[in-house]
Amino acid sequence: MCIAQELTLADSTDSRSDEELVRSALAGEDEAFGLLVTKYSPGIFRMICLRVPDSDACEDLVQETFIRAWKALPGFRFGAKFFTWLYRIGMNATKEHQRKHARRRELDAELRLIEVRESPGADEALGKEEEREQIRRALESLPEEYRCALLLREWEEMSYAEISKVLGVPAGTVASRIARAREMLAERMTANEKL
Amino acid sequence: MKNCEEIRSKLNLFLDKEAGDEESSIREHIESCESCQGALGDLVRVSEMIREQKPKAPETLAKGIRKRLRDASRGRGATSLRRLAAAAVFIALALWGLVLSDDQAPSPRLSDIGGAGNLAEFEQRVLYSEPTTRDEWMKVVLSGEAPE
Repeated sequence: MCIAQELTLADSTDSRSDEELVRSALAGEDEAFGLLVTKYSPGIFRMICLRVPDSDACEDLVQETFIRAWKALPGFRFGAKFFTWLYRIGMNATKEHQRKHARRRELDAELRLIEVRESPGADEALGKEEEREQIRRALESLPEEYRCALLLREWEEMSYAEISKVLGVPAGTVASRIARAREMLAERMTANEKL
Repeated sequence: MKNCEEIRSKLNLFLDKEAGDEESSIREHIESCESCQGALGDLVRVSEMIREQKPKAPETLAKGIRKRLRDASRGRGATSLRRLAAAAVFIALALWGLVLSDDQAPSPRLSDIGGAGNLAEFEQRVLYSEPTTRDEWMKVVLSGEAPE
Protein backbone atom coordinates (compact mmCIF):
# COMPACT_ATOMS: atom_id res chain seq x y z
CA MET A 1 0.00 0.00 0.00
CA CYS A 2 1.41 3.40 -0.89
CA ILE A 3 1.45 6.47 1.33
CA ALA A 4 -1.15 8.15 -0.87
CA GLN A 5 -3.56 5.26 -0.22
CA GLU A 6 -2.72 5.28 3.47
CA LEU A 7 -3.37 9.00 3.56
CA THR A 8 -6.83 8.31 2.18
CA LEU A 9 -7.42 5.58 4.75
CA ALA A 10 -6.26 7.81 7.58
CA ASP A 11 -8.36 10.64 6.16
CA SER A 12 -11.48 8.47 6.19
CA THR A 13 -11.37 8.35 9.98
CA ASP A 14 -9.36 11.46 10.79
CA SER A 15 -8.96 14.51 8.58
CA ARG A 16 -6.37 16.31 10.69
CA SER A 17 -3.18 17.58 9.06
CA ASP A 18 0.24 16.35 10.19
CA GLU A 19 0.70 19.55 12.15
CA GLU A 20 -2.61 19.10 13.96
CA LEU A 21 -1.75 15.49 14.75
CA VAL A 22 1.60 16.60 16.20
CA ARG A 23 -0.15 19.22 18.36
CA SER A 24 -2.67 16.61 19.59
CA ALA A 25 0.14 14.14 20.34
CA LEU A 26 1.95 16.83 22.32
CA ALA A 27 -1.26 17.49 24.23
CA GLY A 28 -1.20 13.85 25.34
CA GLU A 29 -3.34 12.14 22.68
CA ASP A 30 -1.24 9.03 21.95
CA GLU A 31 -3.58 7.94 19.13
CA ALA A 32 -2.64 11.07 17.15
CA PHE A 33 0.99 9.96 17.03
CA GLY A 34 -0.27 6.44 16.23
CA LEU A 35 -1.95 7.86 13.12
CA LEU A 36 1.35 9.42 12.02
CA VAL A 37 2.98 6.00 12.52
CA THR A 38 0.37 4.31 10.33
CA LYS A 39 0.68 7.01 7.70
CA TYR A 40 4.46 7.19 7.38
CA SER A 41 6.03 3.96 8.64
CA PRO A 42 5.84 2.06 5.30
CA GLY A 43 7.42 4.98 3.41
CA ILE A 44 10.18 5.41 6.01
CA PHE A 45 10.74 1.62 5.87
CA ARG A 46 11.32 1.76 2.11
CA MET A 47 13.64 4.78 2.37
CA ILE A 48 15.75 3.00 5.00
CA CYS A 49 15.58 -0.31 3.13
CA LEU A 50 17.44 1.31 0.27
CA ARG A 51 20.43 1.76 2.58
CA VAL A 52 19.95 -1.28 4.81
CA PRO A 53 18.68 -4.18 2.69
CA ASP A 54 18.40 -6.58 5.66
CA SER A 55 14.67 -6.49 6.38
CA ASP A 56 14.91 -7.20 10.14
CA ALA A 57 17.56 -4.52 10.68
CA CYS A 58 15.47 -2.14 8.58
CA GLU A 59 12.36 -2.81 10.69
CA ASP A 60 14.35 -2.17 13.88
CA LEU A 61 15.58 1.12 12.44
CA VAL A 62 12.06 2.25 11.53
CA GLN A 63 10.96 1.48 15.10
CA GLU A 64 13.99 3.37 16.41
CA THR A 65 13.12 6.31 14.13
CA PHE A 66 9.60 6.64 15.54
CA ILE A 67 10.76 6.18 19.15
CA ARG A 68 13.33 8.96 18.63
CA ALA A 69 10.72 11.15 16.93
CA TRP A 70 8.28 10.61 19.78
CA LYS A 71 10.90 11.51 22.36
CA ALA A 72 12.01 14.56 20.36
CA LEU A 73 8.44 15.70 19.57
CA PRO A 74 8.43 18.51 22.18
CA GLY A 75 11.33 20.06 20.21
CA PHE A 76 9.51 19.84 16.84
CA ARG A 77 9.50 23.24 15.15
CA PHE A 78 6.09 23.99 13.66
CA GLY A 79 6.53 25.29 10.15
CA ALA A 80 8.92 22.42 9.35
CA LYS A 81 7.36 19.45 7.59
CA PHE A 82 6.76 16.41 9.78
CA PHE A 83 7.74 13.93 7.08
CA THR A 84 11.02 15.76 6.31
CA TRP A 85 11.81 15.94 10.03
CA LEU A 86 11.00 12.24 10.46
CA TYR A 87 12.99 11.33 7.36
CA ARG A 88 16.07 13.12 8.75
CA ILE A 89 15.75 11.29 12.06
CA GLY A 90 15.49 8.02 10.11
CA MET A 91 18.53 8.82 7.99
CA ASN A 92 20.59 9.74 11.08
CA ALA A 93 19.64 6.47 12.78
CA THR A 94 20.52 4.63 9.55
CA LYS A 95 23.91 6.31 9.22
CA GLU A 96 24.76 5.42 12.83
CA HIS A 97 23.75 1.82 12.10
CA GLN A 98 25.85 1.77 8.93
CA ARG A 99 28.91 3.12 10.71
CA LYS A 100 28.60 0.36 13.30
CA HIS A 101 28.00 -2.38 10.75
CA ALA A 102 30.10 -1.22 7.77
CA ARG A 103 31.85 -4.56 7.27
CA ARG A 104 28.63 -6.50 7.85
CA ARG A 105 26.99 -4.54 5.04
CA GLU A 106 29.61 -5.61 2.50
CA LEU A 107 29.40 -9.20 3.71
CA ASP A 108 25.60 -9.24 3.39
CA ALA A 109 25.82 -8.07 -0.23
CA GLU A 110 28.43 -10.77 -0.97
CA LEU A 111 26.35 -13.41 0.81
CA ARG A 112 23.26 -12.54 -1.21
CA LEU A 113 25.25 -13.02 -4.42
CA ILE A 114 26.72 -16.37 -3.18
CA GLU A 115 23.23 -17.64 -2.22
CA VAL A 116 21.93 -16.77 -5.68
CA ARG A 117 24.98 -18.31 -7.41
CA GLU A 118 24.32 -21.64 -5.69
CA SER A 119 20.58 -21.73 -6.31
CA PRO A 120 18.84 -23.52 -9.24
CA GLY A 121 18.52 -21.29 -12.33
CA ALA A 122 21.51 -19.41 -10.99
CA ASP A 123 22.52 -17.56 -14.15
CA GLU A 124 19.24 -15.76 -14.65
CA ALA A 125 18.79 -15.10 -10.92
CA LEU A 126 22.37 -13.86 -10.63
CA GLY A 127 21.81 -11.40 -13.45
CA LYS A 128 18.71 -10.07 -11.71
CA GLU A 129 20.40 -9.87 -8.30
CA GLU A 130 23.38 -8.01 -9.79
CA GLU A 131 21.04 -5.65 -11.59
CA ARG A 132 19.10 -5.06 -8.38
CA GLU A 133 22.31 -4.30 -6.51
CA GLN A 134 23.40 -1.93 -9.32
CA ILE A 135 20.11 -0.02 -9.24
CA ARG A 136 20.17 0.12 -5.45
CA ARG A 137 23.67 1.61 -5.50
CA ALA A 138 22.75 4.05 -8.27
CA LEU A 139 19.71 5.21 -6.29
CA GLU A 140 21.77 5.48 -3.14
CA SER A 141 24.34 7.60 -4.94
CA LEU A 142 21.78 10.28 -5.90
CA PRO A 143 21.78 13.52 -3.90
CA GLU A 144 19.37 13.05 -1.00
CA GLU A 145 16.81 15.68 -2.05
CA TYR A 146 16.60 14.24 -5.58
CA ARG A 147 16.33 10.64 -4.36
CA CYS A 148 13.65 11.55 -1.85
CA ALA A 149 11.44 13.35 -4.39
CA LEU A 150 11.88 10.55 -6.96
CA LEU A 151 11.08 7.72 -4.54
CA LEU A 152 8.04 9.50 -3.16
CA ARG A 153 6.82 9.62 -6.76
CA GLU A 154 7.84 6.10 -7.86
CA TRP A 155 7.35 4.06 -4.68
CA GLU A 156 4.72 6.03 -2.81
CA GLU A 157 2.87 7.14 -5.98
CA MET A 158 2.39 10.65 -4.67
CA SER A 159 1.42 13.51 -6.96
CA TYR A 160 3.80 16.47 -7.28
CA ALA A 161 1.43 18.50 -5.09
CA GLU A 162 1.56 15.85 -2.35
CA ILE A 163 5.37 15.63 -2.54
CA SER A 164 5.55 19.40 -2.41
CA LYS A 165 3.45 19.29 0.76
CA VAL A 166 5.47 16.64 2.58
CA LEU A 167 8.87 18.05 1.56
CA GLY A 168 7.86 21.69 1.97
CA VAL A 169 9.21 22.82 -1.42
CA PRO A 170 7.31 24.28 -4.42
CA ALA A 171 5.80 21.85 -6.94
CA GLY A 172 8.14 23.29 -9.62
CA THR A 173 11.14 22.27 -7.51
CA VAL A 174 9.66 18.79 -7.12
CA ALA A 175 9.29 18.53 -10.91
CA SER A 176 12.89 19.58 -11.58
CA ARG A 177 14.28 17.28 -8.87
CA ILE A 178 12.41 14.28 -10.27
CA ALA A 179 13.49 15.04 -13.85
CA ARG A 180 17.12 15.49 -12.80
CA ALA A 181 17.07 12.34 -10.65
CA ARG A 182 15.82 10.20 -13.56
CA GLU A 183 18.40 11.74 -15.85
CA MET A 184 21.25 11.05 -13.39
CA LEU A 185 20.02 7.52 -12.81
CA ALA A 186 19.89 6.78 -16.53
CA GLU A 187 23.44 8.16 -16.94
CA ARG A 188 24.76 6.04 -14.05
CA MET A 189 23.07 2.86 -15.26
CA THR A 190 24.39 3.39 -18.79
CA ALA A 191 27.91 3.97 -17.41
CA ASN A 192 27.65 0.70 -15.41
CA GLU A 193 26.53 -1.24 -18.50
CA LYS A 194 29.59 -0.02 -20.37
CA LEU A 195 31.98 -1.25 -17.62
CA MET B 1 2.59 21.99 -32.96
CA LYS B 2 5.33 22.09 -30.30
CA ASN B 3 8.94 21.42 -31.22
CA CYS B 4 11.00 18.47 -29.93
CA GLU B 5 13.10 20.52 -27.51
CA GLU B 6 10.01 21.87 -25.81
CA ILE B 7 8.44 18.41 -25.66
CA ARG B 8 11.59 16.81 -24.17
CA SER B 9 11.59 19.34 -21.34
CA LYS B 10 8.07 18.19 -20.44
CA LEU B 11 8.37 14.43 -20.86
CA ASN B 12 8.73 13.80 -17.12
CA LEU B 13 5.58 15.81 -16.45
CA PHE B 14 3.78 13.85 -19.18
CA LEU B 15 4.97 10.51 -17.76
CA ASP B 16 3.83 11.48 -14.27
CA LYS B 17 0.46 12.79 -15.52
CA GLU B 18 1.37 16.26 -14.32
CA ALA B 19 1.32 18.07 -17.68
CA GLY B 20 -2.18 19.48 -17.12
CA ASP B 21 -3.68 21.26 -20.14
CA GLU B 22 -0.64 20.47 -22.28
CA GLU B 23 -1.09 16.71 -22.04
CA SER B 24 -3.03 16.32 -25.30
CA SER B 25 -0.64 18.47 -27.37
CA ILE B 26 2.37 16.57 -25.97
CA ARG B 27 0.66 13.24 -26.74
CA GLU B 28 -0.12 14.41 -30.24
CA HIS B 29 3.53 15.33 -30.84
CA ILE B 30 4.86 12.05 -29.42
CA GLU B 31 2.53 9.97 -31.59
CA SER B 32 4.01 11.56 -34.68
CA CYS B 33 7.70 11.84 -33.59
CA GLU B 34 9.86 8.70 -33.41
CA SER B 35 12.71 10.51 -31.69
CA CYS B 36 10.49 11.77 -28.83
CA GLN B 37 8.87 8.31 -28.61
CA GLY B 38 12.40 6.92 -27.99
CA ALA B 39 13.12 9.53 -25.31
CA LEU B 40 9.84 8.73 -23.56
CA GLY B 41 10.64 5.01 -23.81
CA ASP B 42 13.96 5.60 -22.01
CA LEU B 43 12.18 7.45 -19.21
CA VAL B 44 9.57 4.69 -18.88
CA ARG B 45 12.36 2.08 -18.57
CA VAL B 46 14.08 4.04 -15.77
CA SER B 47 10.75 4.48 -14.00
CA GLU B 48 9.88 0.76 -14.28
CA MET B 49 13.35 -0.22 -13.10
CA ILE B 50 12.91 1.83 -9.90
CA ARG B 51 9.38 0.58 -9.29
CA GLU B 52 10.58 -3.03 -9.57
CA GLN B 53 12.93 -2.33 -6.65
CA LYS B 54 10.16 -1.18 -4.35
CA PRO B 55 10.62 -2.99 -1.03
CA LYS B 56 7.54 -4.37 0.66
CA ALA B 57 7.01 -3.07 4.18
CA PRO B 58 6.04 -5.81 6.69
CA GLU B 59 2.31 -5.78 7.49
CA THR B 60 3.02 -5.80 11.22
CA LEU B 61 5.35 -2.78 11.01
CA ALA B 62 3.02 -0.06 12.36
CA LYS B 63 1.66 -2.45 15.01
CA GLY B 64 5.20 -3.19 16.25
CA ILE B 65 6.04 0.51 16.46
CA ARG B 66 2.82 1.29 18.33
CA LYS B 67 3.62 -1.49 20.82
CA ARG B 68 7.14 -0.14 21.42
CA LEU B 69 5.71 3.35 21.84
CA ARG B 70 3.17 2.09 24.38
CA ASP B 71 5.97 0.40 26.34
CA ALA B 72 8.08 3.54 26.18
CA SER B 73 5.06 5.65 27.16
CA ARG B 74 4.47 3.49 30.26
CA GLY B 75 8.13 3.97 31.14
CA ARG B 76 7.76 7.73 30.75
CA GLY B 77 4.59 7.71 32.89
CA ALA B 78 6.32 5.63 35.53
CA THR B 79 9.27 8.04 35.50
CA SER B 80 6.93 11.02 36.07
CA LEU B 81 5.27 9.21 38.96
CA ARG B 82 8.64 8.40 40.41
CA ARG B 83 9.71 12.02 40.16
CA LEU B 84 6.53 13.07 41.95
CA ALA B 85 6.90 10.41 44.65
CA ALA B 86 10.57 11.27 45.14
CA ALA B 87 9.74 14.97 45.55
CA ALA B 88 6.92 14.21 48.02
CA VAL B 89 9.07 11.92 50.13
CA PHE B 90 11.96 14.39 50.04
CA ILE B 91 9.76 17.27 51.20
CA ALA B 92 8.17 15.13 53.92
CA LEU B 93 11.56 14.04 55.22
CA ALA B 94 12.89 17.59 55.07
CA LEU B 95 9.88 18.90 57.05
CA TRP B 96 10.30 16.12 59.56
CA GLY B 97 13.90 17.20 59.98
CA LEU B 98 12.78 20.80 60.65
CA VAL B 99 10.20 19.73 63.27
CA LEU B 100 12.78 17.64 65.08
CA SER B 101 15.17 20.56 64.92
CA ASP B 102 12.59 22.87 66.60
CA ASP B 103 12.29 20.38 69.47
CA GLN B 104 16.05 20.41 69.88
CA ALA B 105 16.02 16.72 68.99
CA PRO B 106 18.96 15.33 67.06
CA SER B 107 18.31 16.79 63.60
CA PRO B 108 18.97 14.64 60.56
CA ARG B 109 20.97 16.58 58.01
CA LEU B 110 19.61 16.63 54.43
CA SER B 111 22.60 14.58 53.36
CA ASP B 112 21.40 11.85 55.75
CA ILE B 113 17.94 11.70 54.23
CA GLY B 114 17.97 8.83 51.81
CA GLY B 115 21.69 9.41 51.46
CA ALA B 116 21.00 12.50 49.29
CA GLY B 117 22.04 16.12 49.82
CA ASN B 118 19.34 17.75 47.71
CA LEU B 119 16.19 16.95 45.75
CA ALA B 120 18.04 16.48 42.45
CA GLU B 121 20.44 13.99 43.98
CA PHE B 122 17.61 12.21 45.79
CA GLU B 123 15.66 12.03 42.55
CA GLN B 124 18.65 10.62 40.69
CA ARG B 125 19.05 7.84 43.22
CA VAL B 126 15.38 6.96 42.96
CA LEU B 127 14.96 7.42 39.22
CA TYR B 128 17.99 5.46 38.12
CA SER B 129 17.12 2.35 40.10
CA GLU B 130 14.72 -0.25 38.77
CA PRO B 131 12.69 -1.63 41.70
CA THR B 132 10.32 -4.41 40.75
CA THR B 133 8.30 -4.96 43.91
CA ARG B 134 6.59 -2.62 46.33
CA ASP B 135 9.05 -3.58 49.08
CA GLU B 136 12.02 -2.86 46.83
CA TRP B 137 10.45 0.44 45.82
CA MET B 138 9.99 1.46 49.48
CA LYS B 139 13.56 0.43 50.19
CA VAL B 140 14.80 2.70 47.43
CA VAL B 141 12.64 5.62 48.53
CA LEU B 142 13.59 5.29 52.16
CA SER B 143 17.25 4.42 51.84
CA GLY B 144 18.23 5.91 48.52
CA GLU B 145 19.95 2.64 47.68
CA ALA B 146 19.33 0.55 44.61
CA PRO B 147 17.72 -2.83 45.28
CA GLU B 148 20.01 -5.86 45.14
